[in-house]
Amino acid sequence: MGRNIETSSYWLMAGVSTTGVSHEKAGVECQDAWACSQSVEPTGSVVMAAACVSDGAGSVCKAFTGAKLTAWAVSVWLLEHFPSALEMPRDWIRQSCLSMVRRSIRRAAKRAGYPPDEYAATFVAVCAGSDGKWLALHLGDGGIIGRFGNEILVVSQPEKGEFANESWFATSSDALEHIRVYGSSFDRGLSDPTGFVLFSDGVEDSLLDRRKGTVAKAASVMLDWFRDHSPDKVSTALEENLGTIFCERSHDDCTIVLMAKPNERPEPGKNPPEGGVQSIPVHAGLSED
Amino acid sequence: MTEEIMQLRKEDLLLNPTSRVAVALCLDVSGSMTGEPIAELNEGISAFFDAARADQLARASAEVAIVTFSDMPETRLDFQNLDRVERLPTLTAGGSTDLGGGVNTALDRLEARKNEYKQAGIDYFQPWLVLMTDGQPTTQSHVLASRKALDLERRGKLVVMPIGIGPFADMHVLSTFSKQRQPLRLQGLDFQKFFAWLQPSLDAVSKSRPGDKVQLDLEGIKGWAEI
Repeated sequence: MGRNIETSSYWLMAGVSTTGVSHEKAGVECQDAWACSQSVEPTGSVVMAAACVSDGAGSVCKAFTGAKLTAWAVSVWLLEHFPSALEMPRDWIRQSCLSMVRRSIRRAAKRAGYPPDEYAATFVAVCAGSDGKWLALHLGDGGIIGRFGNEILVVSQPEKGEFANESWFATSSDALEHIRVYGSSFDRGLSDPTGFVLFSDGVEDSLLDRRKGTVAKAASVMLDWFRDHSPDKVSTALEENLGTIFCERSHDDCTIVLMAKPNERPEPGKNPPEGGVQSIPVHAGLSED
Repeated sequence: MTEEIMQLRKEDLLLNPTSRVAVALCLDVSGSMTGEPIAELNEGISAFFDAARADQLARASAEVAIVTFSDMPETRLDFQNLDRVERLPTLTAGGSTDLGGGVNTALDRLEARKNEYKQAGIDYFQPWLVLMTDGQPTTQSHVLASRKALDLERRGKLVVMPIGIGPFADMHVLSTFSKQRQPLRLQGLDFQKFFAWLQPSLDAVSKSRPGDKVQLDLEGIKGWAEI
């Protein structure tokens, strides 16, 4: 038991984006981005992990940059405000996080000489600590699946407008009303998560049954990969699966980020980084054009 | 390569219904369409269905209804998956031009289909109304029908494509159905070119994703419209 408690403080993460067939054919870059960050206190006793997936709007010229900025800003906000944000009202969380994203976008837009609307992007994000607390934020489409004990469930469904090609972005005038906030201190009070799957809309139809609200078996299968494999190997496997089985079902960009709390102590080299906050944007650089 | 154990199987994933795009073809079959016009229209519709059924995405996503109007509006083909359409109706011409009645029937069917999608949990795109006439309306019902169409268009709930056939089509009346698209006059009776343009245009809608603004192939319009 003691061994499990001690080792359960580790979160392992892996993520991959692939360019959709429709964008490849059109010579358009991938418009998804993701960021993962980890924070370890100097004692090494508490680890928190944050991840964000962002999807740039198809019709804007700075979609990828907008997605990168959004993924970075949301994950940094989470690291800065978790877990204290769990004690705050949801409206404060929405307002504070969105302000940070918009500040980041406004700065980049001003430098590049574009309107901020050209950086429109959605986001799904999770931050989880070692003590069973967690916080998730979601704007627009994409989704979050969580594993709590042996139960795997949909934490957040995609939100679209009436039509399939409508959604909400950080730059939308009514974005604030559409940011959904979940966490261990809200609603169902679920705690002690052991895994999360964050994904963009290109993967929605493969992982979620929209009508029944059920989750594909693939979600738990992917999280289980961490039991026997390093995050690097899991990333490689994710990339191969996104490039084959997922892209057969979607012409859109596809992004998946996995967060898992393994049952066993990670082998040397698998450990999360130690010593303060380290932000690891694995997929995309954080240059702001 | 990763180990086999890290390869997902198809049965590990889910399959959701394809998002649908509903298109109502609202067609004038009044007496003035007798002869070559109605024959060409039937040919064009047939070619459109053949092309759409040959396209994997269109076959899964496009749903087409045919509403005709002459003395009375009539739903000749209701919305359904293209694969389920066993036989296309053969349109015949005759009678007057109750254009407004036709549009009202088409809009009612579109609304009903959207509700069916909602109840079944199927995502859908903005529906289309393709309105074709070769003359002037013989009733006043088009006044209210055009207000209804304009209101839906203004609220982003409908794409309207008004099309005139031949030199006597009342382009002014057609123009009252859309503020976003001026009515276009078909080149001669080349319905086939119009439908050949329509099918990939619907594909573009079906491929669109959140935040996309679907652009119509304006260059392609020159292939069938008098511009």
